[in-house]
Amino acid sequence: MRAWLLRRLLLCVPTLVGLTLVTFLLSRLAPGGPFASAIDPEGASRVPLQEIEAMRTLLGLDRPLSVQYLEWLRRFATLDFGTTLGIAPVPVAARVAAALRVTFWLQLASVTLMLGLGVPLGVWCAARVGTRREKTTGALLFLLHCTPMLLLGTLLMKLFCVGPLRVLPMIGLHSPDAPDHGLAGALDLLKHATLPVACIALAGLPGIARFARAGMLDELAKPFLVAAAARGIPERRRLFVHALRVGILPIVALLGQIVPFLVVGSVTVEKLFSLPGMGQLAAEAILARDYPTVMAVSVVVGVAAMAGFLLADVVQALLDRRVRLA
Amino acid sequence: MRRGAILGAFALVAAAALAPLLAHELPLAGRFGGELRFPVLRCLTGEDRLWFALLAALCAAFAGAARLRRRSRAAVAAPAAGALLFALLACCGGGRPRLDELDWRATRAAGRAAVVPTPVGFGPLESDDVAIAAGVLPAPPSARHWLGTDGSARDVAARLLHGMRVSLATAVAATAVALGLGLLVGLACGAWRGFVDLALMRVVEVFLCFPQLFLVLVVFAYLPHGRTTLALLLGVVGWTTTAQIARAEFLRLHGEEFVVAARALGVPAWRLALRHLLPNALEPVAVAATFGVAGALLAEFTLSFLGFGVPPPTPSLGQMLAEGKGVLETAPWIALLPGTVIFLVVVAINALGESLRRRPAPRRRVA
Repeated sequence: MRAWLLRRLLLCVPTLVGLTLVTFLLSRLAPGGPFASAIDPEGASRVPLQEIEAMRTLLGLDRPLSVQYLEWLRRFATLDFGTTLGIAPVPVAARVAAALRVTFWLQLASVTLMLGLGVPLGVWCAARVGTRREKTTGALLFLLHCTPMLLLGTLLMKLFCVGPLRVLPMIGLHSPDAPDHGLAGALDLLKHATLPVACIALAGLPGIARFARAGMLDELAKPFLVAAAARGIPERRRLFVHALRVGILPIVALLGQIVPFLVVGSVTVEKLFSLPGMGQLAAEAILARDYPTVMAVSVVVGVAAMAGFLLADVVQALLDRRVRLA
Repeated sequence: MRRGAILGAFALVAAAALAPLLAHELPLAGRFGGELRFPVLRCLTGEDRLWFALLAALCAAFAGAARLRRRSRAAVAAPAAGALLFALLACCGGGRPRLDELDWRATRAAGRAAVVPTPVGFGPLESDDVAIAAGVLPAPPSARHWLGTDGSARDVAARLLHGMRVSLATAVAATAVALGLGLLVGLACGAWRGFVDLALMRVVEVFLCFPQLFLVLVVFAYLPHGRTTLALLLGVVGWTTTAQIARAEFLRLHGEEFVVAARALGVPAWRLALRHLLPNALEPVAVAATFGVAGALLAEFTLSFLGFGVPPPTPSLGQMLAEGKGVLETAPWIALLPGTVIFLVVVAINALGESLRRRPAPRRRVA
């Protein structure tokens, strides 16, 4: 196990180098560059050339790319992401941290809800496979799978925010007049988070249910479950204790794809409901061409994604020895 | 199920291709001062003609399939006639609109023309002066505007039709790019195995690490925005699935007897790859590509909602949604209809993919 883990960790190194290198090079190859605004479209310089040169030396931009890359990497390792470009510079790390907090809790709630609903639904579908009810559920799940998240979000909004019900707030995380702390504040936050969480969970539900159903169908055909039924073990116990223990393996593999979402967040939902999360931050930084923020966000997301895959692999290996041997 | 899926998907492609005939600021036909003219047909753009050519090819394929299956004469003749018609339509166009045609409503009102307008009657970029004069914007659905207008008095039905066509074109182009790249990489993995295989699969893993949409967004930060970039990017991001499937197929085929036999006969490597391996690996790849189109469509919709799509004057479904969100209370149709259109297209495409996936492979059918 230890040797396997070490090998698996070593495999992350080239990925990490590739990730940071690509991010760094993209930012250097991007159109414009830090001094584009100092030069007229006609090619005449608004600022004396010596001053530009002095600035380049000051910022270290005249050094070879490889030196710049290593320097950037060193600062990144100490979480020094620099400041945002723009009129009022803010440390990038602070913005990323604030956005990360919002996204993480939002996504965690959604993923929990998604798994909590999707896995039992998939198990139920597998247990009742072929019945009319199961077929109807399957068809409904297919339609939900085809529904764009944006349509789902606008529909929910129309129903609960501006439509006949009008019970939930439409945008943001806090009402301006609500207190920050205490029960009232928590209730306010809950109200604001309901629709985004529901939206993300519903969008992911069909995939999870389908995965769980497929995994369970494979298991249910096996003799040990027939034997369990013959011994008179109740169906619920057979499904959720005997079969699910093995049938859940493919879902654990899915964890690797879910973890990065805990960090990226859903750009769509965050934008739709105006939530100050990572997705929103990324989209805004990209539109504003705020390269330090873009670089920070993409490296953070990439590292999180790698960690997710690592976690999924380790959990899978703990559950199933055969994976390790492969 | 399968027939329904094919027909549904075809109907949507046809609606996209025929968009200029369904919604255009010029009339379909008219007698202007005694002269019979077909303004829409005369003014078709290159893109319109490309769409007609595509539709003609599709119809021809349908006719060919019906002929192969020895269907009735009518089942062969109808799509063949369609193919001919669309091929003819693809040859029209290239002209410029004239003033009396652009102003056909006034010309008709003055009694100087007898005009057959398009069914929708408005182009996607055209602001309706009458709706502006009525003072209620966005105007609710009416006989004049079937699905109402948006805040700039543009007809929502026309914008939906033309927006869907932009989305479909982008999605199909993206899938084509993904397919090409994926097949190439899959072929390389299957042909050289060993180190090449290992290295390329690591690259695939790096790509899989990122949520796709995020990857596109990040790369977008460093590139000029536009339709071509969008299609290319979506393709470059989406190639991994195709690559994995193609690789698995090639590896499986390598052990098959007919490949061993071909090798023993001295068939050169390129010929082995193109004539023996590729055709046999195409089916699962085609299924994946179908689902890929649906995925690209959804991604394009989201990106244009976020403001990274086609630049503004061109109608785009995501942009319509972004604009409609602000008036969700008074004019919900603007925000809800684009999503519904995407939903319908995705349902049709996914149903098609699902039925293709369930279809028993030809080899198994013979056995």
